[in-house]
Amino acid sequence: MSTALPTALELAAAIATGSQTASAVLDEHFARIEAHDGVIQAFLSLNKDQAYATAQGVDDLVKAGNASTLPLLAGVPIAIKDNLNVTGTKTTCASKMLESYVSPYDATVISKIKAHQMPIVGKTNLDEFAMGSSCEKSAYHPTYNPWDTACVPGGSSGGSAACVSAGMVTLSLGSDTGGSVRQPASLCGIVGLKPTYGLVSRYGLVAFASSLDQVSPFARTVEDTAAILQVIAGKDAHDMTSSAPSVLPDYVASAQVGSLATQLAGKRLRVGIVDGFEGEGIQAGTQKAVTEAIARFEGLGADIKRISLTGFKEAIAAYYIIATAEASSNLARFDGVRYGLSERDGVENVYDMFAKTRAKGFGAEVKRRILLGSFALSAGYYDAYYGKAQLARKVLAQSFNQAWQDVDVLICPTSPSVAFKLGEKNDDPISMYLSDVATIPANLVGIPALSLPCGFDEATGLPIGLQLMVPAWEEEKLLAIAYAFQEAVGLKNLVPPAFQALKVTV
Amino acid sequence: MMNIDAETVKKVATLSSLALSDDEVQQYQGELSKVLNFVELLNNLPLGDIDVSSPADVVASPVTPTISAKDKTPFRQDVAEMPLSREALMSNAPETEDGAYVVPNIL
Amino acid sequence: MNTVAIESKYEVVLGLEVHVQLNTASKLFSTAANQFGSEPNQNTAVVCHALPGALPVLNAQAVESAIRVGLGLGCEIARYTKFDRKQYFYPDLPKAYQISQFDFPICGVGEITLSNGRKVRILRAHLEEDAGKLVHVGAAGLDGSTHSLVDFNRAGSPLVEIVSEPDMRSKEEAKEYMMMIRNIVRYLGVCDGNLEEGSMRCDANVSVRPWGQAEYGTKAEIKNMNSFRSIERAIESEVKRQIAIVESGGKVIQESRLWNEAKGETVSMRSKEEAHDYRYFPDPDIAPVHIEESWIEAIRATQPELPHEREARLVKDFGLSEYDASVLTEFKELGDYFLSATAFSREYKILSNYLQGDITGILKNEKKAIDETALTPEALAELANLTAQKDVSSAIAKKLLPVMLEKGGLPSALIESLGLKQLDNVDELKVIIAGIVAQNPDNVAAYKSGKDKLFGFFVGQTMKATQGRANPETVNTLVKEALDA
Repeated sequence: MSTALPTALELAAAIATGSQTASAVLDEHFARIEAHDGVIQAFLSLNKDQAYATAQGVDDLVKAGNASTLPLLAGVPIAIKDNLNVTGTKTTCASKMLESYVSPYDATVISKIKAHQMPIVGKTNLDEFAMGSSCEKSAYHPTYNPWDTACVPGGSSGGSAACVSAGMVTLSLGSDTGGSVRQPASLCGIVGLKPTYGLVSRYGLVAFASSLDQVSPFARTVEDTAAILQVIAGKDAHDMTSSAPSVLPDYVASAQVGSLATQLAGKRLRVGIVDGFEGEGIQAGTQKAVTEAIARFEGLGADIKRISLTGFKEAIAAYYIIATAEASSNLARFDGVRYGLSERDGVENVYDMFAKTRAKGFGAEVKRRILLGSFALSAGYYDAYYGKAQLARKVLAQSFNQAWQDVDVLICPTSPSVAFKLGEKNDDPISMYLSDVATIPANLVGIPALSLPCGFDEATGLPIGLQLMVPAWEEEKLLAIAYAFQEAVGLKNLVPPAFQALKVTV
Repeated sequence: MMNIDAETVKKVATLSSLALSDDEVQQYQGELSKVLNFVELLNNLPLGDIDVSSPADVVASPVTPTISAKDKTPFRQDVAEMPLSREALMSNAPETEDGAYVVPNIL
Repeated sequence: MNTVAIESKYEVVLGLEVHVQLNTASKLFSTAANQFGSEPNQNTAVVCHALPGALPVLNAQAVESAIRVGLGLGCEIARYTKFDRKQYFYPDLPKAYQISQFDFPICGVGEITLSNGRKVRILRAHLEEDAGKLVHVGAAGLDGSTHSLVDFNRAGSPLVEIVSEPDMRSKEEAKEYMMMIRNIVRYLGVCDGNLEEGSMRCDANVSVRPWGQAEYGTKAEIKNMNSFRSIERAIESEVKRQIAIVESGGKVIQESRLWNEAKGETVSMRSKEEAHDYRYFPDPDIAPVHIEESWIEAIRATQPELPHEREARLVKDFGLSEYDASVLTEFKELGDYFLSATAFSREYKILSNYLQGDITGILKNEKKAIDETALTPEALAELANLTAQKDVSSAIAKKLLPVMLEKGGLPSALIESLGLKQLDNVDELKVIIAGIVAQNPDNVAAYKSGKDKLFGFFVGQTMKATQGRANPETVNTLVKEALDA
């Protein structure tokens, strides 16, 4: 597994020192996209003009001798999930409802990316309105897993995961509501990080479940992940739920040699293994990889403990009530009045327009979730469903808080299995929902969680991801632990051999 | 056992402004019943020592911060700011007339 | 039994829901300007159009204003308050939900006492956002229109909804309650209380029950009353309607009805909320608010003077009659002028009289508010002082005031420039009066033979001959002397 492709930080350094121009780097990115995306289908639209303008701006600065003023990651191209508003680009959320919708404003994270002069290469595919775990629910086309194109890349941020995994870009943004970045990261052999709820602004992210959504980055190394987190994190006046500290920690410093030792300050790392991820429901290859990971942590001098979390299992049930309830409300604005699809021919009145527009614009999974969510909130059912689900959330939060007294980090497999074949889980919604069992809890309680490669499934050759969870606001510790693990395991900057062609020189 | 009947699906579809065919009503009836059965898991959850006496605490999401006036920047100061033009904001409108959105008759 | 007799069998029970539009600079959850531009959608931002990815951010001033309103109504202020989504589909509702408050309103129980002693309990007051405006095209109203135009200038404007208990028992009480709330919010400076323009709106919950019955009758909600007069007329009409139903053995239906001013009756609304299931849930985008004691106290300490406080002050500190105090309180701008003028004059009664009398008369004719005129409190004060000194008569004042309102200026200067100096010179007056007496021998004779009313003729003629400048008291004395001679 060659790691010849440059990382984001390496590209940034090359651009800053002038050994590569940002425009040349961008050329190579678009060349790779052209060469490989026909097969992978990660992108819904490309953004060449804006991207080259950004790259040119960086090159002008370097030429003028002002490379020292370049912000972090300047000139490094990035792909953006198509549920994030980027002015002038189509933001379709992979739905027919927004097929021609062009963003008139930038999401806050996009403003930050632009402030860091990172060229945005294009918008990536997702499950429609971020509802799904395989990218098969996109209204346009699926995306394919670079490790085995008969398999799904995961979802909902399948496109953003696949283009990083296939080496088309080094960085991308997705959104994670119940695992939509961590699970595809796991299935695609890359790193995915869901920050603490509120660390990254949601302004401009098309809302799915407001109390669960977080914009989340993909990269092929922990260091790159730390860097892009540094760019996008921060309290935002446009988002009342953002509550990041006014001075951000140095995430980049956390993903460096020796950072874990500094963080632990002489203490031993205490690792908790979440109970319930052995045996039935977990693929053999995955179990094996996680066992090896545990051994790896022991090798790093950690104390290992088993932790049983009350409410972990029930979390999926709580999630599906809360997420669908909030989604049913957030998607109500798509009614054909102000933007998007609008069915006006042959409608009797405006109510008819609403109903027909939404029937035509939304796919089956979206409709299913809207119906479920509306039902959960409707008169007579609120306490039994939504009320109970919020309580379950609190039980889970208490459970985690108790665990943090004994451990620094909780680990488990990110996904119960490696990437499954397209069409395999389509008949049974429950089966699809269960693929999120490990990732959902972190969204429910708002803690940060990261997935990184920990091994390969012998049977299929597909990558397996390990999930790390830490208390809220402890991204520095999370990155430090992840970095130490990554260095110990040596599975970093992975790109499937088939996609390593079109080598880039740094 | 939670079984949703077709009537309920139709009612919820109306609440959600979704026009469903009869086939779809049947399909969703089955699927929703399945999901709701699965969700019955919630009933098993031990509430432990969660205080359910204070409604405020019960409904509050554990992740959404609370503002208090003591915060330095508690909420938004009352200043009008409209950085985007009407044209930009309405650039995706299906139909407009003299700066207003057009909708079919309401009755 | 005749109608009056029938109606006297029933007690009227009224509760009011009043919406007060706060005059903040920006909207409740959006930075868009909170004002009513003539062009549609000119006062909007991302949130107002509910663009995908938009998020609400709460306006601090709106929260403070809502607390002021609550304090003004004697309400408890919540220590914890949150916002909820009220969900339904309608073209003027961009998100297909309204952000309102369900179970943790910012203000709790309060009370207002009416002039007849009736205590009207306030159940709660909460913040919510206004909807956009719909204009129906192709017909005079909704019926027969071909399409509608949606304008979101108003969408998101902050409203405080004040809900009373059904404690009122007459349309007069309802009107007074509305007027008291109107004055309270105007005195607080948070709303201009204009029913006609819609910055204040009310819905009335009306029911009837036979006297002595403990249970309430079924209520109907009446909407679309755009003036104090409409409120009274609508309630009267609805009460009649309900009594007729009950008398004939029918049942009043619980529903929303629109007041139709032209027809003079309430009409059942085609229900836009067919499934009355708003599926309220706490808005996950909006952080709940802890309101600390210290903040409430800080607001209380800077609370503007409330109407009843001003009224009491006018009586106590300035010796005005209760009637005068109530008029100057009711018309806040007049009271403001009065108080400003008291810095320059102690002639409180005279000030009050001018404001209530001549000035109000001119304002009515000109259809102006006092602060749209050029009159200054200093000028008014000087006029009062001159009047007290008897240098200015009411006739002269009547000539001065229009100019003072139209063009401004101090009365002393205007008297000079307009030649309105009071004629006090006894000798001059005697001459004039002698002339009038000489020219009107018949009237003199008639007066002397007992027609006392003709006294006024001679006074009037003297005033006319002196362009109204003669000192009235002196004229009276001299005319009497002349006639008695």
